[in-house]
Amino acid sequence: MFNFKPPNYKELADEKLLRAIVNGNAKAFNELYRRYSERMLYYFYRMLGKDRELAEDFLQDLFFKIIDKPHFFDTSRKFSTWIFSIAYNQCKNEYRSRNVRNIVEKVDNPDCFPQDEPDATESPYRLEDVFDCLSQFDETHRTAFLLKYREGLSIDEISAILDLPKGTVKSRLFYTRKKIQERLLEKSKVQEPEKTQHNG
Amino acid sequence: MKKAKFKNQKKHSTMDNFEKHISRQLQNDKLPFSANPGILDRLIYHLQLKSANSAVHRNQILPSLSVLFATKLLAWKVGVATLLLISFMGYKQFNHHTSSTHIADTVQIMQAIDTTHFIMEDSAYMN
Repeated sequence: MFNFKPPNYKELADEKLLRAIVNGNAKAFNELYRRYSERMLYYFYRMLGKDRELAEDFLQDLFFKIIDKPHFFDTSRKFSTWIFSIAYNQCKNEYRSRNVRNIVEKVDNPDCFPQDEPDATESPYRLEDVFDCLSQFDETHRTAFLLKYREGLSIDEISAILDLPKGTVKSRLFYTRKKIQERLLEKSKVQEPEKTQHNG
Repeated sequence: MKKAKFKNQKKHSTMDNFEKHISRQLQNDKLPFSANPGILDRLIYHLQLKSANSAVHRNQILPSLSVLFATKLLAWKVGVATLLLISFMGYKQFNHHTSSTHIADTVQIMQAIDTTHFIMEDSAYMN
């Protein structure tokens, strides 16, 4: 008569998982962590100059905040928007306190990605070149770019995360994209004569 | 005019291609490492610690009592206390069972006096 089924956490929405976490449900937390840890780690890694340890520290802090202050979550919003806005604020504070922006451009991090070999037939740009260009922008431009093209979020969601009007987000995205495109074109023009000289 | 339009279209289409290309590359991009498993262990421990603390608090009576006597929401508390007092006083006023019996007894006594008076008249007549 009473057929009690334990909830399948994989099918639950993020918001419901958070509600279970408030009651100390470890399984719900595991599921939420599984869904977001890789995404957030990527975001921190790219935002903080490819520093693996720092990215992991930030990831841990982010989830500590979720455990400690779940009541700050506005149920009228999406959980993904909330978690990215916390992550963005963490990065913003880090940039302000340590002036990371300048350091990031100069640091030659040994922990960085092994660079993917560019596929000349398919891709005219290397991803690392894109990130090199992106490192010259501030945290708002970088976040908007990553959220739009990596996470595939809408302008509405990005504007909620960055706490900026939609028009500002659009113009920042346009500016970032345009500048990156220009720099990549310049780079490819510089590299082409070098290649021809080497071949010659 | 047509040329300009064509140029704009071409520019727009290259921008779209660029966007698509960047988006595809970024979405396929993966970190060569995954998060340290120790992070999840620490987080779970923190979660359990927090829920254990809140469970202990939940079973205590003192916090609820302290809320009752705290200065917070004092106006509400005074209002509720006044309402309770008024209703108690009203209850006392309209439920005097013992005193009403006494009043009834008094009336009966007075009627008895009247009866005596009639008896006296009758007895006078008889005489």
